Amino acid sequence: MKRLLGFYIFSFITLVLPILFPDNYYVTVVGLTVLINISLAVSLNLLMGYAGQISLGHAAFFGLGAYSSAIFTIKYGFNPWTAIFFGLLIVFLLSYILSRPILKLKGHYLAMATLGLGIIVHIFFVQADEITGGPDGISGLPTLSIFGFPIDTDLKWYFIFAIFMLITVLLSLNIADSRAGRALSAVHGSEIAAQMMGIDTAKVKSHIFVFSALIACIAGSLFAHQQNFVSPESFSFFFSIELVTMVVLGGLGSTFGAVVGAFILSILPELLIVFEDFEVLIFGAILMTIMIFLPDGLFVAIKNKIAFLAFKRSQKEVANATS
Amino acid sequence: MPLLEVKGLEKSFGGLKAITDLSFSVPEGQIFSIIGPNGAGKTTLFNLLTNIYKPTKGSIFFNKKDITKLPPFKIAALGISRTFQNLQVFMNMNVVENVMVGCHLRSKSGLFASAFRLPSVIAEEKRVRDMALEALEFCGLKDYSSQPASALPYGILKKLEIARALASKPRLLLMDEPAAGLNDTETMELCRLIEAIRDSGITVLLVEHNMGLVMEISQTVLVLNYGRLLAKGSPRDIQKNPEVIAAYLGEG
Amino acid sequence: MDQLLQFFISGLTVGSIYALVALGFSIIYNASDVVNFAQGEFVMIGAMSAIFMLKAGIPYPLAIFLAILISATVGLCLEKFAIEPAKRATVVSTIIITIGASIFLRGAALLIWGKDIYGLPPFTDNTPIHIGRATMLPQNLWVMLGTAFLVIVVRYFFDKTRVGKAILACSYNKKAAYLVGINVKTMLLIAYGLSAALGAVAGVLIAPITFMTYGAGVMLGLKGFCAAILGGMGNSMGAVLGGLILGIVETVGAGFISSGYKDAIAFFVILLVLFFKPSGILGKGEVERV
Ligand SMILES: Nc1ncnc2c1ncn2[C@@H]1O[C@H](COP(=O)(O)OP(=O)(O)O)[C@@H](O)[C@H]1O
Ligand SMILES: [Mg+2]
Repeated sequence: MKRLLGFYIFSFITLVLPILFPDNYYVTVVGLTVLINISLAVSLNLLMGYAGQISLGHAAFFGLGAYSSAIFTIKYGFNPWTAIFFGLLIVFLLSYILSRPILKLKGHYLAMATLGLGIIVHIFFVQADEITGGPDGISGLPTLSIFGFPIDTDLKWYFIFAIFMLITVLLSLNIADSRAGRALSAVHGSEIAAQMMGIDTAKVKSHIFVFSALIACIAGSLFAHQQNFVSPESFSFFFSIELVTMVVLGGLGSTFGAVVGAFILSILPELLIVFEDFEVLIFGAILMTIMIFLPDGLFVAIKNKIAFLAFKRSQKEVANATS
Repeated sequence: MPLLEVKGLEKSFGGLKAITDLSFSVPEGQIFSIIGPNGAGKTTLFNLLTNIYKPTKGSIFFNKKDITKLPPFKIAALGISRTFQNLQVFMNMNVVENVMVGCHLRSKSGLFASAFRLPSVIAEEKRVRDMALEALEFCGLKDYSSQPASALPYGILKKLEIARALASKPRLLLMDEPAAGLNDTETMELCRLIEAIRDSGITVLLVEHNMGLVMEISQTVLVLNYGRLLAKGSPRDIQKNPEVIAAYLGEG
Repeated sequence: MDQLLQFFISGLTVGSIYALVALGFSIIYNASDVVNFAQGEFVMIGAMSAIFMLKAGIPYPLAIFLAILISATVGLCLEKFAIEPAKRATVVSTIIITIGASIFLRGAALLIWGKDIYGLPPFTDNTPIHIGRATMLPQNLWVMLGTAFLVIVVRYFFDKTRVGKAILACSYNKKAAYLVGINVKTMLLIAYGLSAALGAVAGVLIAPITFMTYGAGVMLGLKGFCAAILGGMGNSMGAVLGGLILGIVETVGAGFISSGYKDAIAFFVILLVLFFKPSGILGKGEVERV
């Protein structure tokens, strides 16, 4: 119970918000973006935060999920669930095949390779117009139904996205406290020592790469059905960077850090709209400032600060008790 | 029947030969020390034994099995573990988690089971934690178990590496300069710890500059000089060997 | 054959630009271990400043000179206000900081220059030169020769001058450099300024051939990063080689396969090279010492 206390509180807030404010723009419209971004950031954090492997191409898997749903339902007339399954199959094969050669690379070379992967997939979305509809994308996706109940309002979508996001967060928290999670942290800490403890580092990295790609893929499918529409713009290099920023902004390696980072970065543009042309400039400035002064990320910095204060308090109590 | 056997081992880095035609064998149950001046190739030898470096020539047998070409994690699975001269503690974890990583080979839940926290995982977590605490206790680190590794002093981290290596229940433990940077009390404790490790049935291969410690606890001492075997024998023989005195002991 | 020659000429031209951007990457990387994702913005700032000063009636050569100066100043500011204060920066956090800087600079460019597309007139009379059935514009020649000249100057600077050597010393070991009396802070400033100036030159050279907008730096920056990685990060001659190879591969790929996939081909080649040579063409694979 204690282990997941934060998770229960978070779930409660997430699920109660739309009941309290069913017609609020920030809950049912911006909220959907927030929820999907949290899922993506949490999945990316598995790879970047836990295993320490940077990826500048995560949007590619998100996009492949979305486009698979669009293509298999509209062009080939499959049922949406079958389409989601095909998407997962494609992303599984692609990420599995690429994972070993890509994750053999380190540091900036890894950044380059994942960046390249993301850009190649994006160019494919733009250029392969017979399949992907080119720059205009594909519209008219059918809505998703669960046990015959169509998900046809923003509020219903909110709950679908929320449940998916909460499952992602739960899986991520579970992994952190487990043999698999420790193996990932070990790879992050020292790859050589990890190997000497019997960890097949190549395999561990490959598994988490595939796992996080699959989560992004499902997120993509859900996103496509909710929007009824896919276009390359949503899956560009810039979005990959945004996802990395979310993870780092909250605090690399912390699931709730990724949640906080995704939340901030998703609502920030909404808040900056009032600045009109200054929006881009201010966005860049905020990003730089936070990273310069809080390199551990907002959430982690605050968490550490609280832990530090608690530590000092306990020290003081010990001192008082002994004097 | 030796536990570890090295035959005609060679390693060169570009033009530099760090290990040249080295052959020796380590009997089970000993504290077997390797000494030699800085740059003699001791760490390189450890890296070759664990296949972190690929040998240029030669072969290595552990428990009669050829391990020359096995990747490090498979060598670990056969029962070789080690500590590092340049600490390789997982600074992103706390003490007990570091040692729990050492239990990796003695547990088995994979990513999927862990993510869904199947009942088997919950049971295993508890078992692994107990194993780790046992190793910490053995090394006298139990009080530190919930501290973050990054907050600990050097001497504790050195012991932590030993505890982590022991947690994998190896048959052979390689220790690279465990006493470096320790004060006298800590060195004494280390001395007892290494003997306790040997007495628990683990063969110890020790690289160390502290001659007092080496001569006190080793059964066999091997002297490396410029990557070649200079002498091998009991501590007593080595201390008397004129070549060793000239090349190494004489200096200091 | 003629077609191949034509591709080769165009390839060398864009390749030269990539080479300059990559050289900028590697100078900053060598001095501070930072991969500067704002490198492409230096190119854009150089070109856009020159364009607007020319429009304002400043003579062409002076406009170019001032544009380079402006970009170099931006480089200095980047180091002073974003890199230097970031004390505990990791690889990932410096990546985010420089990405933040690139977004910031793009935002500023958008405010100052708007979204329109601009170009520069060629440096000299632009009558095509015929080589067999292939043609080459004098501006292409300017780009190639300008790049060759700068590469030699940079090489000389790092090999022969005191300041150049001091910057390299910082890259090997900051503490040691500091102990032998090198002013590390100043060296870093010089490296950023130099790198930004190189970017600006690239921008001014290429603006008469392609068009410029406030967002044009992004792709150029990424390609420069590509080239630097291809050659082996931190190896400046590798960066130049990487740039030229990238330019040629891209044009040939665009010509024979499809121009829409031009960038995809470039990135695909990088991936292939990295799969077989994980530290680039001229990079040394380093083993971690434990
Ligand atoms: N990864 C490496 N690359 C190049 N040379 C190395 C490498 N590792 C060790 N050496 C060289 O091999 C020799 C032996 O080093 P090492 O094994 O660390 O010595 P010791 O541990 O006995 O002090 C030294 O000359 C060292 O510079
Ligand atoms: Mg050594």
